[in-house]
Amino acid sequence: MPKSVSHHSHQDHLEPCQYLQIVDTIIVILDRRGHVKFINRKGCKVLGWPRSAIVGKSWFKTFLPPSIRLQTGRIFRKLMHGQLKGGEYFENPVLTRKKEERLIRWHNTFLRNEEGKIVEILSSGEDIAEQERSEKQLRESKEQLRALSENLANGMVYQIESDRAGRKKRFTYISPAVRRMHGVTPEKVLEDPGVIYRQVFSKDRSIVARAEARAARSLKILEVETRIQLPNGDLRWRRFASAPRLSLDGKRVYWDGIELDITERKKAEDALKGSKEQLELIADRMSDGLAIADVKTKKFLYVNKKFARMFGYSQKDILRKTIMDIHPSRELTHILRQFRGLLQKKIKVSTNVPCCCKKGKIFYADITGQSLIYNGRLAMMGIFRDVTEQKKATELLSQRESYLSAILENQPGLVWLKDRASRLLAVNEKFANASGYKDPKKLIGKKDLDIWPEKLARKYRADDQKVMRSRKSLVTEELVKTREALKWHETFKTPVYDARRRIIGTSGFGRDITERRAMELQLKETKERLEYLLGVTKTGVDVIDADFNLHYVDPAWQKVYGDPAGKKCYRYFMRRRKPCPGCGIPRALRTKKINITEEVLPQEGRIIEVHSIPFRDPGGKWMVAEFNFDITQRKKMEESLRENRHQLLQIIDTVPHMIFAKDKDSRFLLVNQAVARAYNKSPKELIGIRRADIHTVPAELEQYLQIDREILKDGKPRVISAESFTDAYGKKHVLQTIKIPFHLAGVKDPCILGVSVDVTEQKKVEEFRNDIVRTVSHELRTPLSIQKEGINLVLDGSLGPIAPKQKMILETVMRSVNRLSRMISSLLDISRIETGKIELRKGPVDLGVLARDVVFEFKKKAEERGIELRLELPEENIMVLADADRITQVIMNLVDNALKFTEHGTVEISAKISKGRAECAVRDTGIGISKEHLSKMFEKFQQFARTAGGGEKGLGLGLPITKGIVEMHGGRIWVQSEWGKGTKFTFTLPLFKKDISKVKNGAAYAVKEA
Amino acid sequence: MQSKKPEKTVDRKKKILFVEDEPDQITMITLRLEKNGYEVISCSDGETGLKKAAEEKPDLILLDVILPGMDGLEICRLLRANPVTKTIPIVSTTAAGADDVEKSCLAAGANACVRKPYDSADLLAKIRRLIGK
Repeated sequence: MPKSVSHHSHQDHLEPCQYLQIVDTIIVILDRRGHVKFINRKGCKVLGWPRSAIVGKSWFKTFLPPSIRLQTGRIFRKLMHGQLKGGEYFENPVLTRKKEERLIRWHNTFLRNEEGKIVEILSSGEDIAEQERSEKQLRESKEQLRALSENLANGMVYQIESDRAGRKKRFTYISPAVRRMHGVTPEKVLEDPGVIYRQVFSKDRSIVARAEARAARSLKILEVETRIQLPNGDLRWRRFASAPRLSLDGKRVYWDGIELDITERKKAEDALKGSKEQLELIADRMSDGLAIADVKTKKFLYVNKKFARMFGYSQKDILRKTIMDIHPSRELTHILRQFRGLLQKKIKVSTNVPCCCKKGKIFYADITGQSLIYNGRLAMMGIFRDVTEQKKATELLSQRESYLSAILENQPGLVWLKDRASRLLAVNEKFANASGYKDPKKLIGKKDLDIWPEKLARKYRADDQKVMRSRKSLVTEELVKTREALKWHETFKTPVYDARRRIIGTSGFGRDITERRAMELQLKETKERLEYLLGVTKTGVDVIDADFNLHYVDPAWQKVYGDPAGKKCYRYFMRRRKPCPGCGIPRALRTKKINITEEVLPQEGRIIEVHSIPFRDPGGKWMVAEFNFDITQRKKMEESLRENRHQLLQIIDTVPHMIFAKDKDSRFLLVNQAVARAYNKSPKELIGIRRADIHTVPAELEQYLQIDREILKDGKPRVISAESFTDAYGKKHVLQTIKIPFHLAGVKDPCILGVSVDVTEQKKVEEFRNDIVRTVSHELRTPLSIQKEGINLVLDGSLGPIAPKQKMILETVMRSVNRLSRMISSLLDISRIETGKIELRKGPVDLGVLARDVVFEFKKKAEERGIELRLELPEENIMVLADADRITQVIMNLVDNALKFTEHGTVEISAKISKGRAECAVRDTGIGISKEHLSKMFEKFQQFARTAGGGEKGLGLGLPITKGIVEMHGGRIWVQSEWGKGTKFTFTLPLFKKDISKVKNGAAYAVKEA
Repeated sequence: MQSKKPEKTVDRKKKILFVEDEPDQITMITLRLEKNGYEVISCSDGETGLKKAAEEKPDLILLDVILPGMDGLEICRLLRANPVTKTIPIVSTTAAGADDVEKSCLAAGANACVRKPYDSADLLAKIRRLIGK
């Protein structure tokens, strides 16, 4: 190679031929001074500089690393002056623009003038690193190629060597698939390439030859599709693609190629091409939009007229658009994902895909997609059907369905829908409840036989069939025996039609009409009486002409009209001189439609509904037939209903409590005057307004809304014993509110009904009373304690001896003071319990130990009174979590009471664990409590002279306090008694959960003392 | 007990400052405390109490929480803030049942609390525990 290079360059080195530019080696020509005279494309590429930045520069100073610059320069000069022989080969690095050093293997050729003097030096260099890399790549790709060639199903690979013009071809490699592809052995092909070339269909040969020559010149990839005639006569389409590359010496071209059989594709394409016009003709007549888009670029390749119209473009314009232009941008990701999905499946339908017109209007389309090859490109064909209307209809339908279900659920009776086979399609909740199934969904698909007793079910089925056969509604009334009473049931069945008036099932409505029957019966009686009195029947028929002349009056109506012959109707009917304005005859004649009016017969006090029906008599004259219905009763009922409602509203308004109903968004649906007053508005102004819009205190509001949310969540009512409420005037109230979830007729979502009672004053009074009790008790206690202290000082003799009588008096005083002191303590205790201000010092204690202490305390007193005091304890400890002092107080109270009301016998204190709770009982054999007193035992200030059994009288607060303490511990207390036989008080406490029985006694005492 | 008392008085009697606005209460408690061998000085409001505490340096201060003017909690804090009275034990008296007041007394610097109305046995026990006889 170096030789040939020098040969070429030597011929005209001043104007180096194109060849130097394109060879894959670096070519540099330096002049005697070492300046660059020429560098080829490859050289520029390796150095990274444009040619203009290289030519003219000193090679050694600019493009060599500094470390070797001097040394190399010196060698160069020696070579130039012939002082050094050789120098054809060496390796040294160059410095690239990126300051990288690249090792190049150089081969130098010295260009001499006629005198043999070196004028220039031509160096061709090979990038060693690159060479190594490409060699490796080549190896790898060759292996891959091999592997590929063996495995290609409908193709083969080959390598051809040719000259620079693409002639003198010779196969250097051909894969064994050539047997399959061309019906010849590889060996034969390697010998004579003509074996293959001769197979090329005669008409295509010139095309192939031209393409090859072009590719050889430009060294661009050759792609050619041609027909091949196989030795067995078959004509196949083949696609040849080969990449030419120059051999290192630049003389030969190597073609790495692949040959694919594309007969099937070609056939399909030809077929398509042939039918393309036909297709477009058909496509343009399609009622759906059709578009073909390139899979890669997403550009439209073909659209039909309808498609263009759908999007508001012309057929030509839209071909410049892509899929991205016809869908709303925010849906694109989703749509493109679907588009890609289409590629994997063969046919796919995407429904409700939003599309965007030229003018921005959005419509929805169902798209059926299919991938195909169109003009040699992988494309996607989509058929678009505008379903906007359909979608709207579906939405409307689902909306209607929800209306329907709302209507179903709001019906007062049972409602159901059945198909032709009498299977249930829909029922409301009431139906479900009546059938015992509860959940309406579970009933769907069931038959009457599954739900009702057999006899009943058969009757229902027969009714259904009758309705469907006759195409008429059926009303049945039946007497149903329920557990409580006999009930009248009315069932109303109608056939259900589809859009084409085909019967598809039946619908039914059933309700309890017992009440109505009773009322009707009553009404009938009254009516009959009334009719008798008035001489008027329910309905009557008459015929009147356009001049209000009566032509016919049925016998029943004659009572009103009298003899009809030729008379004006109003003269008799209305007793007026003018045509009755509401008579409806002119209108009925004018519009030729049925007209309905109401007439009042003032003298009889009756209201008649007149249906005026225009018709033409046999003579062609327009007449009006009038059907008169007496609707007095109905009107009266409506009236009374209105009145009732009005009265109810009035009552609601006069109630001083706030009554309101709110929907789920906290909008007022109903408010009474009290609410309106609090907000300084009228009730009408508040309807539809949200509480948040009007309530000014956010903290309160949040509390209300929180409770509302909870109610709507679990559907349970709430009682709020005290909630603060600031009215529109800024005044604070305390309300006691009851909130109930309920369904308001005509409102789908649950609402909340609330009643708030203003307890501000009540709370104030309570507060005031508690304050008084606290203050008074404190003030009373100080002088008492002083008295006590004084008496004690005198009594214990520390101030000097006292006489026995004095001592007796002082002791009496002392007892009295102690009693007073206890009473005050009781008052304080009850006040604290009621206000919840008592503080319990809870700890684990043994109930048994407490009971034992109390017994010890009362032992002397019991002995004095001759009563046996018994203690009944189990072996185990009864650990409770309690305030030991307070529980002791409880037991003491009970024992004290028992002793007080027992004259002889025993008082027994027992404790045990029962049903997971600690239970303590104090039983006496005393006089007992009468029944009427038993229920009031735990009320305040109740004193029952159970006996005159001695002991001091109290305030009647002992038991209320006892109860309060027990309940504050989470326990319960009750009393059992029989007059004359004794009383038993029992209280329970929660057990202390942690097992600490081993340290029990110590712990109990420790807590007690704390 | 009576015969023993004079011997004890040979040592300096322990001095108690009693701050209480109820004169009758002062009389009774003073009698009880003196009978148990303590010397009692008393006053009926906070300002005087503070002054006396600094002057007399009592062994213990018995302090009612509810006083006219300056209340016991504040007196407690001021006593603790003054280096002279800083270490004198304080027993404060609170209304029965007012647990929270008791807590704030202890927080303000009192060493112990007794409940009103006075239980003389309890009071004496607490005083003895703090300063002995």
